[in-house]
Amino acid sequence: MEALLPDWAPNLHPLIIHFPIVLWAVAVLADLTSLFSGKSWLKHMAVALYTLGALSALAAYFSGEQAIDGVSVPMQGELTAGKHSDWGHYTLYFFGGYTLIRLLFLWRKWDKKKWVAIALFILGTSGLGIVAKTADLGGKLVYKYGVGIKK
Amino acid sequence: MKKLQVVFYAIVFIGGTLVFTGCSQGKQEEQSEEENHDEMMDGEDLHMGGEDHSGDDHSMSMETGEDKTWTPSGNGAELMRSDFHFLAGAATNIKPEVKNAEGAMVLELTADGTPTAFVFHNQYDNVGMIATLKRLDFKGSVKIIHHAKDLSNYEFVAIDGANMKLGRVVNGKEEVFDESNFEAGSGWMPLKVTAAGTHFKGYMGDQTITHGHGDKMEKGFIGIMLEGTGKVQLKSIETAILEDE
Repeated sequence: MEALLPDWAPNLHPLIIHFPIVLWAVAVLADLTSLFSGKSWLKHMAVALYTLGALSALAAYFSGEQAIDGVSVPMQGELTAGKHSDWGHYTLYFFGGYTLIRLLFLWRKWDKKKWVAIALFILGTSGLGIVAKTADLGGKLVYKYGVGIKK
Repeated sequence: MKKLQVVFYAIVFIGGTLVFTGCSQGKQEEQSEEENHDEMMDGEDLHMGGEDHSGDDHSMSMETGEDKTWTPSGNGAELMRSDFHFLAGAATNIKPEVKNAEGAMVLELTADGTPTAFVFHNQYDNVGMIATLKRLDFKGSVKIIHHAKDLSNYEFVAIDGANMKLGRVVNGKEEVFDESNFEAGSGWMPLKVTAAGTHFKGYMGDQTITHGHGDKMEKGFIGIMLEGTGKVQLKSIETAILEDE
């Protein structure tokens, strides 16, 4: 896997992390649009995006575990690194669970009820806050503490 | 009309979530600053050093986000008395001498086999420490200890030969978080440990050798422990109170 990396990249993590962020953001938008348009293909699209997002989050998690011991973290960046790792775990658990719920509700057609669809949308939107916090800490590691900016 | 209501409530919810996240982050930062201030005040109360050593800062009183480097100078026995106190053993067990080695002043310790732990006078919570040391004919384990209360309660990163161990001792019982080998040379070794919340790491220079997790411990002393016999030289100890995000 390392051989496939561009020579400037310290590890796979920065190449993967943007997938779950974008996939979940678009999934929330698709959910919102399906709520007021009533088009079922939009809801299916949202569930597909959440699923792809959860899978890419799994890849981001494993690449992050591998990356953290391979980069040099300055002492002052250690707390941020630890919290980024913790929030990365929360993100994975949240969206892993949420995706399973969405797939189950879609399969059993429970999400056809309006109030259920709204509750699921609200839950998905709250998850974006967890993603934002994780991303914020990751950005701080790179841009404030210079972690992983050189191979 | 109903569709418009859904859109309206969705926008209000997203906006509310963002505002709430922003507020709680601000509050967390304020709280963190207060805690760090308390930590600094506690440290000042506990400071026991009384002598000034040729311009080197030996007080180790620090503010959050600040790094300080301790370097030896003057008389070995006096230096130990002013800058450290012992959690185990005594100065006679390590015969401290300040010497000139390769153009720099170093603290040479000759351990007699009695487990000896000496720590700075201040107590810290989230902390990082780099001890630049050289094992001459030392046989045994050199430990950086942190969150130390006494010989039965502390956290550590230990090197013995080419093996590094990361863990903690609680009520005399050792728990190892991680253990790994590293390339042990015969020269100066920058042995580094960081304790950031529930994340603990042991480095040799910039390379992570051990990484483990455990419950957060109450703040405690930081210092060096020797369990073995022979000579160890200490060139510097860099300490940092870790900056909260």
